[in-house]
Amino acid sequence: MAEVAVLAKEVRQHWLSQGLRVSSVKPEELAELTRSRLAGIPEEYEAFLRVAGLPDDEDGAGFRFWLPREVRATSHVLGESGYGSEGAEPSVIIADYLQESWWYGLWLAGPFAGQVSLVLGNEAGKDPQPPLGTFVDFLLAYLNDDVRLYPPASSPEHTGRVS
Amino acid sequence: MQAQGLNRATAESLRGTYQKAIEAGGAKLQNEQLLPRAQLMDRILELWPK
Repeated sequence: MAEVAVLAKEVRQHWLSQGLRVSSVKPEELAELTRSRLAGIPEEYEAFLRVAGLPDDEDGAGFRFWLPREVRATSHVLGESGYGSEGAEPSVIIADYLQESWWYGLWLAGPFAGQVSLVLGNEAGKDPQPPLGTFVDFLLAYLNDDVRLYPPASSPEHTGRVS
Repeated sequence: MQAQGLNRATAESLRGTYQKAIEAGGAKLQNEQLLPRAQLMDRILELWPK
């Protein structure tokens, strides 16, 4: 958990250095997220929100971390965009890239619980993708603009959507 | 789009974000929406009332 707190501070600093306005996540927002709506929210994600807060806009590269009230089930987000989902276990969308070119899903249960996957939105409904790593791995990838944040070159089924 | 609230500053900001991604290249070019979106924003800015 200490690693998440350290990374959360780095992420916060990353946002502030870009001139983003970063607000604290209120305890009641966290409580609502974890208790009422989405069972299984990992403690690491909660800890991240507590320490980092959240910016009011996407960052300079186009990544946007979703506010607690925006966090929704992956299947719901995909369904709204006309895509299917084949994940048997629940996951939620916590961030997106470049005005929802694709999303990042956090697994809430099952063998991948606590890990993060790309959610591409593809016609074949093969989402979420295999995990790119733990939530800590995701934060490290974010801070380093790692290739794992992007679709692999061999994902021809990723057609994307132009909104 | 103007009627729906898009302002020129936002359009320019989005175009700038797309341009940065295009120039960065690499994995960012896996985004098949990148070029169409950049072209759309170019067109919007081109047609923006003087």
